[in-house]
Amino acid sequence: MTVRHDEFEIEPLSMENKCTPRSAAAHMLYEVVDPFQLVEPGGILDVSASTYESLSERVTRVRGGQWMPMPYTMKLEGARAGPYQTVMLIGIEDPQVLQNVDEFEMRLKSCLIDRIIASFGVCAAKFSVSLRIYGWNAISGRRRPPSTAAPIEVGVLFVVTAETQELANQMAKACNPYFFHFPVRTDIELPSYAFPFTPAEIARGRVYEFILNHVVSARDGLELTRTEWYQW
Amino acid sequence: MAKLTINDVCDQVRSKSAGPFWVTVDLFFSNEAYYKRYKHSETLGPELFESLFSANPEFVKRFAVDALRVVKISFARPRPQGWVHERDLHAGQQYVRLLNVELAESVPADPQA
Repeated sequence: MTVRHDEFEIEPLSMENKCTPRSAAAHMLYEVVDPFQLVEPGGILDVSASTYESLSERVTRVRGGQWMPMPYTMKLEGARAGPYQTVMLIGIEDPQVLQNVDEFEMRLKSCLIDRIIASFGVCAAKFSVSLRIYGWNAISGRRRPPSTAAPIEVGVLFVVTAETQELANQMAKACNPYFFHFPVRTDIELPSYAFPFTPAEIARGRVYEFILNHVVSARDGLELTRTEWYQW
Repeated sequence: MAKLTINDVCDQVRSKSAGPFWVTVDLFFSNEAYYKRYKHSETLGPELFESLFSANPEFVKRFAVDALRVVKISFARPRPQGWVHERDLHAGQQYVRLLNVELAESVPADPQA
């Protein structure tokens, strides 16, 4: 990369790679809210008038970015350590289950919640059970339209969230036989779904949820940081 | 004539987290004509993101990046990254529910288009 007073050129290190005007400009899209203004600690970079010019097949020159100095600020983001989760996974190929996945999920979930309340009573005041049906709607959690074809198999991820890891583990253990054998019909013996491993319960640890989203005014970039020097 | 979907007029659609409190979606239109026809489409307004993602319509931002034929839409997540019932930490699959959305043409027509 060659940086001059009011422009720069980018050339990849590998001769097989290219930096094109499109790939250079597209950099301002990646994982940012605003493609024209990039807020940095001491100002805002505005690229709405930037130009991207091809100098060769591999080299692009960028000009026209405007730097608007602002008082120095730093972004402060932080996650909170929350409750604990334990998970279990089963696979299901039984066509009778797959014919009506939504109803199966609803009945299974309500059975598991009842089971936890029956076993743990008041100490279960703060818990939640979530089922994610991979192969059906695990990613969005949204209902599929009624016309959707049945899946050919699904993975069901059970997630229980509780105040301590021990409690989450015990709740998963209490649910285990019901999760594993939940009947889709009552006139035959209980089915067994496909556990991929045993023990089935996996202690997943704490939930870390982003909670802190602040901008802090600072004199300069070092005011909020600490530097320690080591000699060896 | 049947309306075209986002999938019909874009050669790439992607979504990603933009920091832990926002999701951003990039619509790469496959040619200049489609880009001009749809870059101001009312269909791509805040209501769409409210209905598909439960986003607060006041926190939906939209940008037209002419140099790339891209419409970029960013919205605040209803719940922050990593919340208890998280299903897509990096929001990498959130674009999929946009693909079959049928687009109305830009109204009023963009005089610069």
